[in-house]
Amino acid sequence: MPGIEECMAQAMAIPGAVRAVLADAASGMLVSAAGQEGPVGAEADAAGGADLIRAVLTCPALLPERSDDDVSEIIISGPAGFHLFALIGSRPDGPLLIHLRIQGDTGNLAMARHRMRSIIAEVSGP
Amino acid sequence: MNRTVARIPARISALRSELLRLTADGATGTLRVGVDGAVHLNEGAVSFVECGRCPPLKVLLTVAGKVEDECWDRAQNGGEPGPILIQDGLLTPTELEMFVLLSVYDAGFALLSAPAAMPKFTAQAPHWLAPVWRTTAERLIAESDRRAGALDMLWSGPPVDEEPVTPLRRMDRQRLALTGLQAEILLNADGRRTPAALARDLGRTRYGCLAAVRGLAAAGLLENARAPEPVIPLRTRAARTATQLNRRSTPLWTEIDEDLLTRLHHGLSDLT
Repeated sequence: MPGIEECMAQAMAIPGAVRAVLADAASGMLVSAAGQEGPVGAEADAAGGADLIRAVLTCPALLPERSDDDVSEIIISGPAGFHLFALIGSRPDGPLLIHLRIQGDTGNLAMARHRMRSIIAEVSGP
Repeated sequence: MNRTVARIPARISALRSELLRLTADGATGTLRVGVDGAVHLNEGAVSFVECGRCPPLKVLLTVAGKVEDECWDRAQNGGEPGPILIQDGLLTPTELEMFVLLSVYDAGFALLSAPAAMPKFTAQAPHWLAPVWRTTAERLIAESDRRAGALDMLWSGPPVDEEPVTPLRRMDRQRLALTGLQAEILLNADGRRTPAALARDLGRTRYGCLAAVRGLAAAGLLENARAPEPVIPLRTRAARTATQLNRRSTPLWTEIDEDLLTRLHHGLSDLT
């Protein structure tokens, strides 16, 4: 069973992945980063990801219709590629958030989501 | 950020300098902080941090539904709960790492951002986490400062961190969006427990609860974090006072002064 560094390696092995940042969703603390440095440093990336999660969770327009409908992924896409924010664990205060930046020409959204889910399933155990 | 740094009293700096000195010396042992705080060191690396104001690692794991209470105790009797639980297939190494991270930086922030007694170091055998997990004193201190700054960004009005959480009894708005943790805090707040006490009882991180409570303060949902009333024109003041009276659960009346009432009564009787 993999540790955190092994998970980061698996995330970076997803086709098109250029950057993976793992953060504590409640505090915005950086846990680990891999790949090319993005437009901001890894720490700002982690804190920004946590801000995004908080904004989504408290946005009235995004309230779920069913009580069991938790947020598991946030996807932001543009012509050059996309960002996949996946939450690991569904506790109210986290625990973890992974921000994966994928290039549009080499990556594929469905593939990235599928691979990310299996990494998270492996991490979270039975 | 500057404000945070300026607020740090000398005794906190004593803990920081002692921690940096010990880690630079490659110390192995436990640095006790106050009665219930401890930083465990192994060859100059930080292997675990504990603080009585934060829920312990065991509680974080059991509340998250990862490990049963008895399983942890049984593993603890074996001396090394983490590796034993992993061996038994009850916990993955990544999960253990995740929860250790949450626990260590939560306790680290609590110890490094509050005044405490002079830390005392005892050289002793390393903590059971030493072979599987480590961080540096510098990282612990930097993360603690980052958290202090992040909390100030959420709310910098009247202080709410050490106050009993007292939610408003009445709402003057139609709808509201909260995070799960904020809802948990509102549902459990009783006007007596502080954010840290709620964190311990709920098995959530202390920092997570502090951030959630500051968010509640910023959303104007706490009685104990009302900004001072602005000066209101006379005409609207009466209406405003009426809503305020409705909001208060217990009116702030002073003890009845019978003597004053008697004198008032006599005075009024004399007038007629």
